[in-house]
Order: sequence, then structure tokens, then C-alpha cells
Amino acid sequence: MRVIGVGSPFGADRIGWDVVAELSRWDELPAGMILSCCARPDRELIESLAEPGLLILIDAMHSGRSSGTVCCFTAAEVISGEDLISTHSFGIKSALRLAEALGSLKAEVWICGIEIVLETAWRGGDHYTAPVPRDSLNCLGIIKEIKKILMDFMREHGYPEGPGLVSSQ
Amino acid sequence: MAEERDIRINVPVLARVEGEGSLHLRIQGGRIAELGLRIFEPPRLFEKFLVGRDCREVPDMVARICGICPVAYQMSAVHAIESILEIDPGPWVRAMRRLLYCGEWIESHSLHIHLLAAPDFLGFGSAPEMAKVHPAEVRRGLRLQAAGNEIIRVLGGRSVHPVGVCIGGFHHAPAPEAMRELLARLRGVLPDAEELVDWCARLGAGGAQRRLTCLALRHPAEYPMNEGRLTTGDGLDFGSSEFDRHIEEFQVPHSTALHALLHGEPYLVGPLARLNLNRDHLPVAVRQVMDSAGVRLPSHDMFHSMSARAVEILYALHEAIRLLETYEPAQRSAAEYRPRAGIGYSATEAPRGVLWHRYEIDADGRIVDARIVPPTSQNQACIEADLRASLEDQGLERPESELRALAEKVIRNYDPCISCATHFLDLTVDRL
Repeated sequence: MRVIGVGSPFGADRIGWDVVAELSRWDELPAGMILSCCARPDRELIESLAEPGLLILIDAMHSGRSSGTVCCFTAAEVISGEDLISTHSFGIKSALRLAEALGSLKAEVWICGIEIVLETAWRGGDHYTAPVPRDSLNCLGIIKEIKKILMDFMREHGYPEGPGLVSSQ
Repeated sequence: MAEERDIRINVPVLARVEGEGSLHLRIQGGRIAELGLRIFEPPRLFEKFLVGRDCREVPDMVARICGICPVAYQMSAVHAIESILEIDPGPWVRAMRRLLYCGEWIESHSLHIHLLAAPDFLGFGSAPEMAKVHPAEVRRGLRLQAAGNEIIRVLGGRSVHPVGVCIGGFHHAPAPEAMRELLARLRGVLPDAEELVDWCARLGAGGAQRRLTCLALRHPAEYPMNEGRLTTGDGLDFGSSEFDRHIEEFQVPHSTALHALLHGEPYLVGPLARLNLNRDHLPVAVRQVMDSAGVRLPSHDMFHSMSARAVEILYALHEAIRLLETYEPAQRSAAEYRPRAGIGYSATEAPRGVLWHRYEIDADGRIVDARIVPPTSQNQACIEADLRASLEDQGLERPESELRALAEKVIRNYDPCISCATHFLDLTVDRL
């Protein structure tokens, strides 16, 4: 199972990267879980979508929910829904739509969005606040919740649960 | 006669973190009464971050300014600082820096052509919409972009915000096997690049015709990337240390970013300016593809920037292949040096155009002062002039939706940092 943190170094937009960094320190990181990060929904993400298998994307989300809320969506829900996921102008939705249009959406994709607070929420664009402190990811229970979600995915898909590998870009 | 309308168009533009911008347009009595492109450039903050840091940290720090053209920031920085430290990195480093820059031109131009600008030229609302009708072309763009990214990854350690560059050279020399694999990969996408020149020649034309003052580096023997003097088409020629004598940066009321004028006039930097001024340095193989596609130079049609980018992708591939064919790892990948106080300057050719850096360092090698003038900032006045001419040429009586679409196309065609947002114009119209 591949887990990719999507983001950029700027403000709260890096929360996907920080979550993956926290997961990489997980003592019980399962063997079948491969962690990595990508810079925004870029070409490398589109290539990842073309690889069969379970793929979990972790990204900042702005949807009006309470800050710190974690929600999971299928690729179909993101493609057909409003652009609630991701603060990126060329967001995960665009990457999924592009992969779908190219016939290269081969992965079983789930998007794990973490609600962040935007200083200003402009329609169709992005504006970031200060980074979410790493400590607060654990204090708010975000990491714990994401670990539970990931373990549920692994069990449902029959992945092994021993010590794992960590890779990152 | 079309009915005269008073229209106020405010475009509170959202952009990606490389830059934020907006467009304000007011049409009154059939004429453009107000037009202002606002761009907010983050590099100003970086200039202050750099003060007090060891100059060895600068290449990694400035790489963070832009996710698409980090190499350009690294190159301008190391050349400026090395001029202070009196470092001569030697021919191996010089060649590898040129190779690295080829990678950035290829990935940046491919991204812009296929995912950002082409939908405007083909009448699609987005890249995914275009991909449904033109999947082969989009795949071609992704292949080319990947090839450029791979060059950066091999030399820079990773393709985004690379970390392989240091003052004096590179942290390590890639293994010959890695370079052979890279060479094979680049040869494999050459047909894509040749096809792209032809495709863009058929796409990009019909922009407002006006005299463009082009500014680009000019090197006596090669197409410019890291070295050369700044030149214009009408004979102006100056070194990077004289930048301030010719180019004035100033504040405008409608933007927090500085504008720049060359002797009081807007000027163009970027691929079309480079190509207009340096086409004689293109190798025969590239010129033949250009001629066959019908690319004629010099051009003062800004929409020919698409063709210029395609030609530069092809050139960069040929140049990268040439450099890789004779590659041998260096025994020492970086020159040694000692800290020394002084002031240094450098201009290099970022994908979007001239990127100028100035640094002052103290005797311990710490940054005392830094100035960075990015290409997007330099092009702002030119974009505004182009917008005004394009909108007036096409007719201000057209519906607001068409004016907006044209404005977006004109702005995105420059590949400004704000184009990182593929669709950034969020339009509201107030009729006066």
C-alpha cells in the first residue's frame, strides 16, 4: 500500500508532508506500507496514479469542517464533487481528472484530507496560514486517526502488518 | 457601431505560492481607463532571510524560492558569490551546470506548453479537458517534463528543490552509468521535441503585434544559460554588474511588487527574447526543424512564445546529449575557496528569462545584503502593455467572458509564476 503526502513547503500546505514524516517514525509501521511525499499534485503523482494497487493520498483540505477533521474520499467522489479537497490550484482533483482522461488512473485511490484553517479562502485559489505545528498533529489526534484509517485499509486489502520500509523524496 | 459600455473587471487572482496576482481592468467609454496587473513576489522575503547566513547555505535556500525553476536561482546565486570569492570552477563544473540548466528548461517549458498554455490556444477550460481530446499530446508533454526532471534528479539529488549544487561546483559527480542511462533517455524523447516544434508552430500566433524590446544574455560562442552579457536588439550591451545603471525597479500604486523598466520602457525577458537575440547560436539540427515548421525569427508576436519554448526544449535536449556524450566524472566536483569580503553580481537565463542576483558578503563569508530580481517582475510592465494592446486589438465591445478569456491567455502566455495556478482568474464584473 502506497501512502503519499501531497504538499509544498509553504504554511499549512505542508501538513501532508508532516503527517508522512510522523508516520515514518511509527515503531509499528507495517511492512506493506510505503511512504513518500510529492511536491503538489505534479507529474510524479500522475505517474503514481498509473500504478495498480492501493494508493492513499494525504493532503490539506479546506471544506468548512472543523480544523483538524480527517475525512476519506474515493477518487470518484473527488472527481465528481466540488473542489473541497486540497488547497492547490492544480489540485488532486485536477491530477485525478487528468489521469482519468489519459486512461492511466490504474490505482485504487483514496484521498485522506485534513482540514486546515485558511486565513483567506478565495474561490478557486489558495492562501495559506502558518504551518500546523508538528506537536499539534499528535495533540489533536490527527496522527492517531490517520494510523487507524491506514490500518483499516491494510486489513481490508490483506496487506502484511510487520515492520516496514520508509522511502521519501 | 457597438454600444459604448462602462465595465469594471476586478480579478482577485489567486495564485500558487511562487507568486500571487490579480488583474484590475476598467473599460470606460470604449477605452481602457485602468489596467493593472498585481503580482506579489515572495523572493523579497528570501532576500532578508539570507542576511547573516553563511554563503554556503545560499544555493539550498534560494532553491526554495520556486518549485519550478529552483536551478535558475541556484545558478544565479553561485555565479554571483563565486565572483566575489574569485573561484574558477573549471570546465567540468561549467559543463555540468549547463546540463543542469538544460533539465530545468525542458521540464519548465514542457509543463507550461502542455498543461498551462495549450488549453488556452485550443479552446479548452483545463488540461484535463484537453487531455480527453489530445491525450497523445499531453502524454508527450509529461514524457518531456519527466526527461527534464531526470536531469535535475541525477545532478541535483532530487528533481524538486535539488540539493546537489554548492559554491564551487557540485557535492558529487554522477557515476558514468547513471549518465549513460540519462543519455539514452534523452535520445529517446528527441522525436517528441521535434514534433513539439511543429505542433507549437501551428498553435501559437495571432497575438498583438507591437515592437518588443527584448533583453537577454548574449554569449560569444553559445546559446546563453549561465554566462554572457545583457543585450537588447538595438545594440545595448552591459554586464550584470551594470544592471542597476540600465534597469530601474520601482513601486507602482496597484501592486506590492516592484516593476522594472529598461531606460524608462517596458521590456521582454524570456524564451522569445532569448531566441530573437540568439538564434544564430542554435545548432543546424535545431534550425532545420525550425525552418521546416515555419518558425520565423525575429518575431514580435508574443503568442510565438509557445514556439520559442518548443525550440528551446529541442535545443536543450541537443545540448544535454552533446554534454553527456563526452561525460567523464571529475576527480574533484567542486573547487576549493576561502571566504573573502566583496560584492558580486550574476544574471543567468531562467526558463522565464533573466534572473539577476546581487550579494554582498563579509570576510567570514556571511551574507550582508542580497537582492534578487526575478523575470516575472521584469515582465510585468510588458504584460500590462500587451494586455492593453491585445484587448484593444480584439475589440473591447466583446462580452466580458471573452475579454476575461483573452486576458488569461495573454497573461499565461508569459509563463509568469502566477501561472502555476492553471486557472487563476476569478472574474467579477461591475457595470458602471
